Amino acid sequence: MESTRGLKAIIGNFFRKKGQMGAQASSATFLVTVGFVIAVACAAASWVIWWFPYHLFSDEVYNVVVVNAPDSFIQFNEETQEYRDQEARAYGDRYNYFANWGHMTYFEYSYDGYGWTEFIYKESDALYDFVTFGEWMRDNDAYLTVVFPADFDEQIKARQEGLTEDKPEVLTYYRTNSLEYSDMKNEFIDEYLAYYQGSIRADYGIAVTTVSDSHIVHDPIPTADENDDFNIGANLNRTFVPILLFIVLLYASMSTGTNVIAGQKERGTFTGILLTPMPRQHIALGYLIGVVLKAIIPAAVIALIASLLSFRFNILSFLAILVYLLVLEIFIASITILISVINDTVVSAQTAFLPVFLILVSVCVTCIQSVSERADFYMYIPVHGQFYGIGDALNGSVDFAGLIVSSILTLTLTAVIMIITVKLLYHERYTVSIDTVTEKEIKESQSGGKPSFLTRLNKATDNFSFVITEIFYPLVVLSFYQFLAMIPVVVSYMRKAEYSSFIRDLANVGSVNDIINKTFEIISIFFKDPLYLTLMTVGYIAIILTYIFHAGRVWKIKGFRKKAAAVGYPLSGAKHIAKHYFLGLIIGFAMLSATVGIMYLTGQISFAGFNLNTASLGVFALNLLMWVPQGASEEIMFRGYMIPAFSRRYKKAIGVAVSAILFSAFHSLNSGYTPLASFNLVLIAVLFALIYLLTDDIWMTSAIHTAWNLTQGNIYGLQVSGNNAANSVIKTFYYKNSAPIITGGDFGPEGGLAVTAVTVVCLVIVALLLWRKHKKSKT
Amino acid sequence: MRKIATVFKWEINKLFSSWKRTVTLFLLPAILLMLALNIFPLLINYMSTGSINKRPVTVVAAPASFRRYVEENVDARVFDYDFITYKEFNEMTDDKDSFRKQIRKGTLVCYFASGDAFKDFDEVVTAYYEEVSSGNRAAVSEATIYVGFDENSITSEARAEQFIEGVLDNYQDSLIDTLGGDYSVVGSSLFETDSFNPVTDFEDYRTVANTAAARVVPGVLLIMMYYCVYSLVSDMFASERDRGFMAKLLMTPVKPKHIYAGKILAINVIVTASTYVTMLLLFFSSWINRSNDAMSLLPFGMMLTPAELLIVLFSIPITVLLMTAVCISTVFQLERMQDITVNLQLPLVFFLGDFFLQMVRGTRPVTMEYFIPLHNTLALIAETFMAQNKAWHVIVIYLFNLGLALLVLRNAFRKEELK
Amino acid sequence: MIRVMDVHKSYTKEKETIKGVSFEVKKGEIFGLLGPNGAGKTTLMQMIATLMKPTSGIIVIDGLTADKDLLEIHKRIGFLTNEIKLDPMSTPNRLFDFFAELYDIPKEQLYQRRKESFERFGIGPFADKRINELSTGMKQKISIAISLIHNPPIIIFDEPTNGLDILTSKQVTDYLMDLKEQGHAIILSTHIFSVAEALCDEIAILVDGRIAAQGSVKELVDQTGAENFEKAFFKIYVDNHVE
Repeated sequence: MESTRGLKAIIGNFFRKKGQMGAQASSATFLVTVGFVIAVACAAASWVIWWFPYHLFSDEVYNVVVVNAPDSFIQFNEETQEYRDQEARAYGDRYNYFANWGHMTYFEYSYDGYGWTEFIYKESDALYDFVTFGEWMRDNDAYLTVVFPADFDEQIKARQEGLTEDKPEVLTYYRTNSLEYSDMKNEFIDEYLAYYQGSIRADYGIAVTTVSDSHIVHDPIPTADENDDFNIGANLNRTFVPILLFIVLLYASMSTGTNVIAGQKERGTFTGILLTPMPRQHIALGYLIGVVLKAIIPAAVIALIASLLSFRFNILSFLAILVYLLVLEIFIASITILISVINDTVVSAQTAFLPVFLILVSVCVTCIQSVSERADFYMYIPVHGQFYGIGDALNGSVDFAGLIVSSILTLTLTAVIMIITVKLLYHERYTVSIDTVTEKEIKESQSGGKPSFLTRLNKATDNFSFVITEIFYPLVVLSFYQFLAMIPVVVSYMRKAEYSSFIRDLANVGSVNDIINKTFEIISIFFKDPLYLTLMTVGYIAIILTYIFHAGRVWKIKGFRKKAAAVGYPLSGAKHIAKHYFLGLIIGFAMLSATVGIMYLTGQISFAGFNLNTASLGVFALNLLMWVPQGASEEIMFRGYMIPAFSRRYKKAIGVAVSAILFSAFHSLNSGYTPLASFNLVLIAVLFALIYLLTDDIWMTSAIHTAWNLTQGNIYGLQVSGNNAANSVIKTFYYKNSAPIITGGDFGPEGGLAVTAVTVVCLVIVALLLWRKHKKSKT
Repeated sequence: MRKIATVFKWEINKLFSSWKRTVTLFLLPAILLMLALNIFPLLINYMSTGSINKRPVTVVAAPASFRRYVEENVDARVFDYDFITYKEFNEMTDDKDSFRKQIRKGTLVCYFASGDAFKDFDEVVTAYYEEVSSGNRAAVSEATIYVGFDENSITSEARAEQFIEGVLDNYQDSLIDTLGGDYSVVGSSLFETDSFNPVTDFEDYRTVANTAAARVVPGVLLIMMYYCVYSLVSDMFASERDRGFMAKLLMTPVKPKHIYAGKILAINVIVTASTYVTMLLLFFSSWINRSNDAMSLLPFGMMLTPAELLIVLFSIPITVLLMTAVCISTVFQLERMQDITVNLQLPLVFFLGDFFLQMVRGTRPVTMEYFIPLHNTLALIAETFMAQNKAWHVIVIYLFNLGLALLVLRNAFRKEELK
Repeated sequence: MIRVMDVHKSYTKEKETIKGVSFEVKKGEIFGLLGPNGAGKTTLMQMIATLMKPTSGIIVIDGLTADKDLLEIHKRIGFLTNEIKLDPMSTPNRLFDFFAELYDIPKEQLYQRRKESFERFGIGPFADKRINELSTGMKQKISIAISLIHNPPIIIFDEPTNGLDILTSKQVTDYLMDLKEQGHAIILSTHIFSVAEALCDEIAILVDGRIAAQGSVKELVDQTGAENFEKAFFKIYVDNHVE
């Protein structure tokens, strides 16, 4: 056994070298350690004096704002005033807790009496105006606003007289600057408002104020044996001590284990060891034993102290703990050696070990969570077995079956890891950095050889992620900006009194259909609102800018022109742009006029004169303004950006097809949808795409898009893809017997055959032009 | 100043020169955390019950009204039900050990008792209302619903509580309308409170979610930040010094301070951005979480007011600066790479400990804690999520951390110059 | 150009690494520092390059001292060790741009400078390759090119030909001779005799932190009475080394 000498030499190395193991501590790390210890101590202190901090933060408020208070409620408050005063006196000085020592020990943060509450009465018709309510609460030191409907008493009366089934609804709002107000609100509803209800009942002579038709009983079922007492010490032994031991082992193994092989590789001394005639398994084994011996010493000392402190020290259980620790440490050490072999430098080895560290600690924590609830088989598996085993052994009971089985399983696992390690040691290739592997692959693919599975997989996932990104990008961008534009508008509507009942009706919205209809109802209200129109205009411009910046890889202002050109907006030549844009406007107007003409001639619609009045002129102008960036942003999304993006990767036809289908899908979500509408939208999208290919920019299609929507919504007053535009020049109405197949019904003209006809004609013309251009460029 | 920008740009470009590095830095930690957050509750559930699926609630002798209630109410269908009769239940409890095992695995038992051998639960309730409406105010109902859960398991108790609050209480309230007969008109409530109030619903969700988030989010963010800072400092300072590249930089006619400043700025910008991404993901994770069971770490509706959000957002770069200062001072003080990594990793263990401490403590910080650097950020973020933040805490913590960071950095650089 | 006056350096209290070294390097001169490992060559070089402060003694570079005009000195010296590893993910071009900005080299000059040095070392075809795809020799050549990007009058080379093949070594030594002719002052540390013999005008032999002998190759051989330079070196070493 000559080679055992080598083994001994390697192990001996661990203890001979000075300063190899004893890592130096930096002062910063030392201070961080001190800080952490103090923090833990503070947390422990906060458990002992849990109530103390609350006295430092006693700035909570107790008043209540009552909006539209019915007479009965005001009267009820006056009746309770005396009782509340008495309660406040009984509690003592609200602001001086120290003078009020007696209450300290059972102090509750949310004082649940109403002794300190003053009621502030306000009037408002806007029942959902939480902004104003917030101001009132701040001004009056109130935590809660209770909003009654204006005719609360009358509604109660009507119901009692059997005139109606509806119950009046009370709304509450509370302040956001402390989460405690949520509980206080619930208590107010459950107690004070319940008493108030009782008093109304009494007024109407209803004797029974509370009924109790059934009871709910908590029924804890004991599942553990009675004699298994879980006192604090035993619990600590089962939780804290094992986790401490785990961390000590892990940390000690990490600092030595990752150093040995990776460190020697870094210093270049490892080659020397590999060149010796020692079998590789002996090298690996030598390092393993060295790490184990190094790490087990501190852990064993801690285990000894812990078991002495537990007052249940017996030599058998201590030996069991040592066995558990040894097995666990062998397991951990084998992982560190494996990681050390895989990595080239200490840093990379230690970084690679971190996840293992975190995972094992997390496993420990999950064990803590359920020490008392563990299933029996956990005693027999690696890691869990050791964790529970150590805990039990500290409490004086040793499960020998568990000890043996878990140890055997763990050691088997260790053996597997060690075999892998030795294999890796034989193939030093694997220990070279990962970069060389990819380099090889790059060369392989460059030389045109058969692509490996990995490259094929890469390509497939690449295509997949490309398509997903391209499809979802517009969706995300659009919904993000629309959402942003929506928030201020929604808030402003909640503050308006006239929409209170509208909001209340939303409670009855149930089916999906209802939701879609209501949504469009709301949007058509928004379309008359200057705030919304302005915000949406800004939002559409933001979308365009987002796309332009997105065209470059990094977000930079530099090269704006180039990027704008990349998404279809070449900024060269004002004359050229103006020509295309005006031509586009005219084409758009003409196309829609043709559609309306068809509908008029086939007797579907009629005009009822002019609709615009001076009052709505401002909104009308804003509306017009909004269509410009709206059209432009949709064009940039579906044409200017998407078609080149897809064409570059696949074929032009795929770009056109995908953009057309997406365009159609986006617009088909609107109300009044028909299959014909989808088809028409695809046709329109293809038409626009062809125009884009014809003109090489999207100035013209943007103009057509804008003109189309504008003419449709604000000149002829028809629906734009299901959206109702509000202010139109001409008032148009459908005949009662009009055929939706031609007019498109609720969806607007895009859902009807009239548009199909116009689009097909245009498509033929553009296709011819494109063909001619193609031929010209060839000759 | 231009030189700082040059170094800054160089470091940023270096990081983005390889997409692998970028992804590792920006997304991987965030994604791992998200996974952990979602798997962790599953794991706890698994550890405590031995199965990943949630156990159905065993309902014994369910009255028709309860079955109908479950069918009609979406909220009630959060739980799965296993309807059995008295007889089946008796058979189940005959074998004590196996029954115990089932309970230990997380089964809840909902037992309807009528208190009358010849009537079922519904009939007893109906009879009670008949008596009440005929004027007998002394009528007593013996109808009882027992909810059985595992006495030794906190999770089981929490789930039982959730079942009672989320389902049984509402079911009980509905009884007066469904079984009350004549009495339902007179006896039911006179008005409703917040039956439709989006604002308060939102606030209620926020209360629940933010309380849970205050336990989880600060620790997660701190671990995230420290991990990034640690890996960047060992790359930009330790490894570069080891490679000799730092010497080359120091040989240029640029003040060492400016070179360090550029690097520190780069670290700060990257880590701050990466942490913001993580925070955004945490918010998303809360908003798409509709399951909302007792174990969920980030329930639906996490929300901060703009002021609170600003407090959290500003505290991040300051903390990152302090962490960077700590790491740099370690790097400058020690010589050997292995010492440096061990020293840099040790705080990560502490942050992990702090994270778990915050998970379980449930008390407000004592004043002392606002003066423990790094830990005070955890306290600040936690109390901001709880809406308990005070202006002076914010000011003290910002200034304290910032001042300390600058002090540590100045010291480290001065020592380095003296070498 | 460079004057080193009674320089001492000690890392720990007990042991002094450099025990009083003085010498002078003139314009257009290559000064060689020769010595066994651990003699203090690298420490001395680093002190001259201002990367380290001497415990006592003065180093004057072009009339400037590190205490007062650190950045001015940096503009005048180029420092190169064979230990420098460049960032593996970067490219020669990017490195060049980066250091050009740090050294404040005007854009017009940069183009010329890049062309020259890329041509001399044949970096051109690899200018946009990643560093980790290049050979050791190429890395070293890039490293030299970057160190001398600002055309410094004083050049400090710590074992410049270490680990290079003969061809590359030749390129480097030729370059050094060119630089000398252009009037640069060069300090060179090496333990390869042939390099020292071929290049250096003046050689100092460092043993245990002291200069054991100084002079041109011829002078040193004459002093010791040895047959050749190699033997002269051994003689000096044996005479001065204390166990």
